[in-house]
Order: sequence, then C-alpha cells, then structure tokens
Amino acid sequence: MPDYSQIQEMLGLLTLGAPIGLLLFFGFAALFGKTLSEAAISKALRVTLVTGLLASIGVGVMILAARELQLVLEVGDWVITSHYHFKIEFVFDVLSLSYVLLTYILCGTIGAFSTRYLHREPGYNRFFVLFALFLTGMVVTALADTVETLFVGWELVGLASVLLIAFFQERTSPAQNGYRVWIVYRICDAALMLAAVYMHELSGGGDFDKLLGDVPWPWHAPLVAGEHTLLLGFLFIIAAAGKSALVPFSGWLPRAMEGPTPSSAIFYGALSVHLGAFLLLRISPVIESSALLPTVVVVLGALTALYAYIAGSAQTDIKSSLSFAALLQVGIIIVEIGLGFRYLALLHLLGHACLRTLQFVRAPTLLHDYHTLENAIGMHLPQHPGRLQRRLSPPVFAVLYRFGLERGNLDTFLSDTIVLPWKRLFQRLELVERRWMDFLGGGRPS
Amino acid sequence: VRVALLQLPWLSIALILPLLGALIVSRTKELRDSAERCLLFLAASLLCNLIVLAGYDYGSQEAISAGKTFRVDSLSVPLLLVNTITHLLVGVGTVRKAEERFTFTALLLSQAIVMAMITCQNLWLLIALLSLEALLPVFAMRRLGNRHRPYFLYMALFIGLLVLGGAFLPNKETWPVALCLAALLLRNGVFPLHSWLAELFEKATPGIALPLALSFGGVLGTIRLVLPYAPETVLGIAQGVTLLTAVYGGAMALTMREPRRFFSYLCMSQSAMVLCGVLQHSSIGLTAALCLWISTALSLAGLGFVLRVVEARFGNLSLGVHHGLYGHAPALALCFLFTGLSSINFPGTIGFMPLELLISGTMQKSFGMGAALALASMLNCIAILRVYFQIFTGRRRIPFVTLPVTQKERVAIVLLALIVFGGGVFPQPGIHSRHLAAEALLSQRDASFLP
Repeated sequence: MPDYSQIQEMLGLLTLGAPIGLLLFFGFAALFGKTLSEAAISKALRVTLVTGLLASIGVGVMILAARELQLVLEVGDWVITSHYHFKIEFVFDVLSLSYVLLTYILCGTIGAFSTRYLHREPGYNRFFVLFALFLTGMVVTALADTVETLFVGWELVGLASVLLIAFFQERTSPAQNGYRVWIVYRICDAALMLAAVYMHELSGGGDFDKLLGDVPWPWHAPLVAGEHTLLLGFLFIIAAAGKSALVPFSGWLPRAMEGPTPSSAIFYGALSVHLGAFLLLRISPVIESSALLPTVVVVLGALTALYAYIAGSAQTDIKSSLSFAALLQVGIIIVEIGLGFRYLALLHLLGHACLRTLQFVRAPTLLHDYHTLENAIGMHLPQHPGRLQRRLSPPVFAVLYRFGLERGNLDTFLSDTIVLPWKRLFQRLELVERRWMDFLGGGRPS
Repeated sequence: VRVALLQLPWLSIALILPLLGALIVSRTKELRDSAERCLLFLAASLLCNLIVLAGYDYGSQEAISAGKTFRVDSLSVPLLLVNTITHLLVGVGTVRKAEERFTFTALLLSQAIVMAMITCQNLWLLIALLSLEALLPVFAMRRLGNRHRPYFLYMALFIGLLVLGGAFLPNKETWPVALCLAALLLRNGVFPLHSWLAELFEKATPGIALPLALSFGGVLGTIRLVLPYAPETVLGIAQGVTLLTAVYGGAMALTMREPRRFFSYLCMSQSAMVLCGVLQHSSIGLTAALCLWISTALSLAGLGFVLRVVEARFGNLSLGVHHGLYGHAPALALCFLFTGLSSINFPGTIGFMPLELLISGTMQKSFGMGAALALASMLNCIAILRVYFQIFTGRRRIPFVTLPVTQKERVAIVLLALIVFGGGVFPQPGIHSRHLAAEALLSQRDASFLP
C-alpha cells in the first residue's frame, strides 16, 4: 500500500505525465502519417485534461491537508558530469499549482470549444498536435523547479504558439506574422538561455532553491546578491518582456491574432501572454534584491499599460481590441510585481486570464449578435465618444489617435532601425562573396 | 557464437566494404542498380560499425585495432556510426538522375575516406586522407561541367598549409601548429576563409557536398593535429574567430534566397560552434563539442535529406516566395521541422544539452563569448523557421510528379525522429561517453606539454 507521500508523488507525476502522454500519442500518429478521427482526438483530449486536472487538484488538497506549503518532485538527473549537473525537478507550491490549475481549466474549456469550432477544418489533427505541445510546455513551465526545465517548457510554448499563428497556412500573412512573433520569441529566449546558464554558474546549479533559498513561494529571499543578480535580473526581465509583449516588444501581440480564435483565446488572452509575469513572480526575490530592477519592472509595466490603452482605444477589429485590453492588464500585473505585491499580482493574473478567455471565445458570436441587432433596427448602433475623446483637445486627440491606429509604429521602428540595416549589410556581404568567387574563377560568373 | 562473432575483424571489414562497394558501383551500368548497391554497401557498413560499437568497452577504453595504422578509441567509436548514418541518409535522398551516377561511387569513396580518417593514427596518412577528401568534389564539379577553380584554389591552400605545418610537427615552435590550425580553420569554413563552402553547395550536387560538409574534417584534424601541441594564445585567438564565424554564418543564413546557400551557411555556423568548443580545451567545452559534433552531423544530415528530397520533387526553390508544400508532403514538413530545430539545438532534441554545456563552458571564460554563442544560436533558429515558412506555407501548388514520401524515405524520417528525440530525452549515455573521450584527449594534451 503506497504511503501518503508516495500518493502525492504519483499524483504529481500524473499531473505532469498526462499532457506528455497526449503529445506522444498525437505526435507518433503524425509521424507515421496516421490521421486520427475527430472522435478519437476529442476523447484523448478529454481523458488527458480531466486526469491532469483531477491529479493537480489531488496534489493541492494533499499538500493543504498535510499543512505543507510545497511538494518537491525529483524525477531524476538528466545530465550529470564532473562539471555539470542538470536535475529534472518540479515543485508544487502556491504559484505553480495556481498556474497549472488555470492551465488545465482553460485548456479544458478551449479544448471542448475547439473540437466543435474546428469541426471538419483541414488541419484539425495539426491543431491538436500543437495544442498538446502547448499544454505540455505550459505544465512543464508552471511546475519547473530548475531554470533549465522551465526553459524547456518555455520553448515548447513558444514553438506551439508560433505554429498556431501560422495555422491557416494557405495564406501567406499568417506565416509572415508567425515569423515575426518567432523573431521576438527568439530574442527573449536567448536572454532566458543566458540567464539559465549564468544562474548555473552563479549558484552552482539550475535549481531555484539554490538561488532563492529552500523556502516556499512567496517567502523566498535571494541567497546570492550584488551586481551578479543585477545582470541575472535584467536577463530575466528581457525574457519576460518578450513573452508578455511588454514595450518595446508589444508589436507582436495583435499579429498573433491571425491564428484560430481558440488558440488566440488561450495563448494571447490567457496563458502564454502571462508567462512573462509568471517568470517574474517565480524569480521576484531576485528582482527585489536591488533598487534598480523593481524600478525597471514598474516603468516597463506602466509604459506597456499606457501604450496598450492608447493603441487599444483606436483598434477597429474585435480581436485586436481584446489583445490590447489583455496587454493593458498584463502591464498592470507587471507593475504590481515591481511594487512587490506578489499575491495581488497572482490573483489579478488568474482572474484576468479567465475573463479574457471567455471574451475571446465570445467575440465571433458577439459580432453576429451586433449584426442581428443592427439589421433589426435598420441602422448602425449609436456610438458615443469615449472618455479620452471628451477630455482631450481635438489636436492632441488626433495625434494620440494616429499613434494608436499605427500601434505606436513600434514594429516599423524596430524594423527600420535594427532589422533592415543588418539585412542590407549581409545582403551586400553576400554580393561581395559572390564577386570574390567570380574573380577567383577567372571572371567566369556563377 | 557471440564471442566468435565479436572476434571477427569487424573494423577491417567496415573499412574495406565501402571501397569494395565503390569499385562495384563504378562498374555497374544500370543507374537503378548503382543506387541499390550503394545503399546495400552503406547498410552493410552500418551493421559492421554497430558491431564495432557493441564490442567497444568504455570502462577500460581499450582500443580496437585494424593493423598498426587504424584504431578505434573512445573518440572515434560513435563517429564511425554517425558518419555511416549521414552517408546513408545522403544515399537515400539522392535521386536517380544521369548526372548523379558518379554520386553513388563518390558517396562510397567518401565513406571509406572518412572512416579511415576517423580511425587513422598516422600523421601523414591523416593529412593525405584530409586532402583526398577535400579534392573529391573537384572531380564531381568537372564531370558536371561546373566552375571548379575557386574551390580548387581554396583546397590547394588548405593542403599546402597543412603539409607545410605537418612537416614540422611535433615542434616546440608555435608556427607549425599555427599553420596547421590555419589550414584546418579554412577546411572548417571559418570566416573569412569560408566562401568555398557556399560555392561547393552551388556547384557540386548535394550528394557530393553534404558528406564533405558533415564529416567535420576540420574539427577532426584540429583534435588530432593541433590540440595536443597548440599553446593557449593560439587556441584563444582561433576560438574568437570561430565565434565570429558562428554569428556571421547565422546572419547570412537568415538572408539567403536559395536553399543550398542557406544550408551551407547553417553548416558553417554550426560547425564553427563545434570547433569553438574544441578550442576551449576545457573538460566541459570539449565534452560539449564532441556531443555537438554528433548531434549537429545527424541533424544537418536529416535537414539536408529533406531539402534534397524537396529539391528532387520541385527543383531549385527560391526562398523569396512561399511555396505551400505542406499540403503535398506533410511528413517532409514535419521532418524538416524536427531536424531543423534539432540542428539548432532546440530543447528536447539531441543537441540541446550539448549547447547548454558549450555556453556554460564558454561563459566560464567570458560572459560576452557565451552571449555570442547564444546570439548565433538565436540567428540560426530564426533562419530555420523562416525557411520552413517559405517552403511549406503559402498557396498550394498543383503537383506534376508523385509527391508523397516513399517507403524508404518514411523509414529514414522515423529513424531520424527516434535519434533526434531519443538523444534529447536520454542524453546522459552520450554525454558520459563523450566526457570520457574529452578527458582522454586532455590527458594527451597535458602529456605533450610535460617537459
């Protein structure tokens, strides 16, 4: 008969293993060229999500019943040499359990919605392979107790998100938007990778408890301080800024709306867009170890919220408006983290994710309802000027409106100042290389 | 029976088989028979190498010899297998066209040369084999009637520098080893001596270019000829150059409009990362480099295989437009994605752990150098997905040829997936064996620096 701690561990493994099993099932079918029926996909999804949700609730209840504050699940060593130790370790604490429960609840809701919404859609199988990839990434990221494990989950979430933005692949614009999002993700992922390796060097391992102490969240305090944590903190902030679309990376969020509505709802309204905030919450003691880092976090959050408010007010399509509304709340959550309100930020995050998911899912039918209403009254619905328009003078309002409509030209700015000059430089270098080879070839062109 | 079987000279058989195969294939008239026989000999070679691997004892690290010249040690055991798999993948992906007839013979010749290079213990024989391998594509370019002079000039410089440096090795002076290192940096396609690589992929068939690019002759030569004798300063400078190359190659791959050139720059960037780890000459860096060597060779071979198969069906594709091929061959798209992501060391694939180790080892020296590696990895990763979107998304084309993957290609894709994800989920055995090999190499270096 397994004892209490063994049952806890089994439930923990089930929470983690359920989405991995689903991914393997869908992945192997895709690899061998087998097309699963919609019924089989729906059933596998239901079984996985219910199992994962019940297991995570079970772990939570058992932790509370035992009056513990966290459960650390050591799966084993991934790599161990005389110089490097990479543990696979997961933690169930207030932060990770809240996020994993949120993941299972929202993925369950959206999974059920998607099986109907995408009925007979070409690419139905592909959607659910990517959905399983996303779910695995989210659960791994949420439960990770080492920075490397977190990085693995983080990357899986990024890949699944980008491929889902490009889901309607017979059109070029979803692919182009997916590619843009991928570029931003890779910048922030490079920062996270550097942070992971640097943290390993700094504290002698990738475990969060080596950096933050063996105290449950949110009572952590960094064991390592000084200028090293400043650099580490900056790297984590860059990573979070990319993932949560903070300024100056905000341009990718409306682009991400090219994907199917269910994926927009769950990724950019609820789970993925909050991952940056989740990361900052996980390493919040590092942020609070110096005066500069919280200031940077607060300023970034405030700027993002302001930008999202102005841009969101000028959007003309419902998904873009919702994405900027989500970004506004993310900005405020980031400010809360910077000010040290960890519980408030977590509660805000959970509530906002649920609300925004439902808004995204409701969006297509809301438009339909509006059309019905307008047809019934025989005219457009009356529109009243917003608060901003009433309070500002017309010239200032016009400037702000243009700024909002163009989304602050953030994408254009990054493209013109960073991407294009480098692209031109390397294209010229290619030309030089070709001419050099022609010269060596005795003037015979290639 | 098992003992009796293991006592057979499998290494000698593995070395001779490709040579014999090359002879037989060169005399075969029917193109279809040439292809079948080439694959048969490569498969037999793979089997022999698997037996050699099974017979090698990592605990005692006792070498398996074939005569006095060829020996398998902890470094070379997995490399034999990896090279055979890369050659086999190239063979499966090679189409049966009239101009490809020479490719099958060249593929077997290349396999024989690379295997001899990996196991050879004689300095001059190694130099001769490296030179021969580098000159093989010249014959192919000539047969195709393509320009070969620039490539030949680069390789002549490589051979000249290598012979000049090798003639004075081992030596207390720095210049012979510096000459050898310069030659091997050229062979590895290090900036600014890299232009031959793109030329090779453009002017020779991929069946000729891929084995040369993926044999990592420059890395092997550096380990055998340079690492035991080179002083710290020389290695440090060369490491800086490899880092610059990794970033440059990644940035160039990002802007290329032809799949072959894109692939050549990706190879350049990735092999520079491997060489960077070798030149670090620390236990962690060398372990990472040896692991990365294996993962990069296998992943790039897989990626090259997909590009080759796509090219065989649709001809040369421009990366300036979207081709929408996903609908025609989803298995190829999937294979492109996982081999591409594996080649840039994405988490969960075989290359992830080695990259972490490499950045960690590099960061111990300098944070900036670690950041340069992360930057190179980022650029390569962006480049891979860009090419994926260009080739596989967009308006679907009307097919003129049979598009679904063949049975052989499907087997290759499944095997690749098993290697890529198997190595990613269970990296410890591979890393442990490479760690032992790295320690052995560092002991050799320490011994050569003793007064």
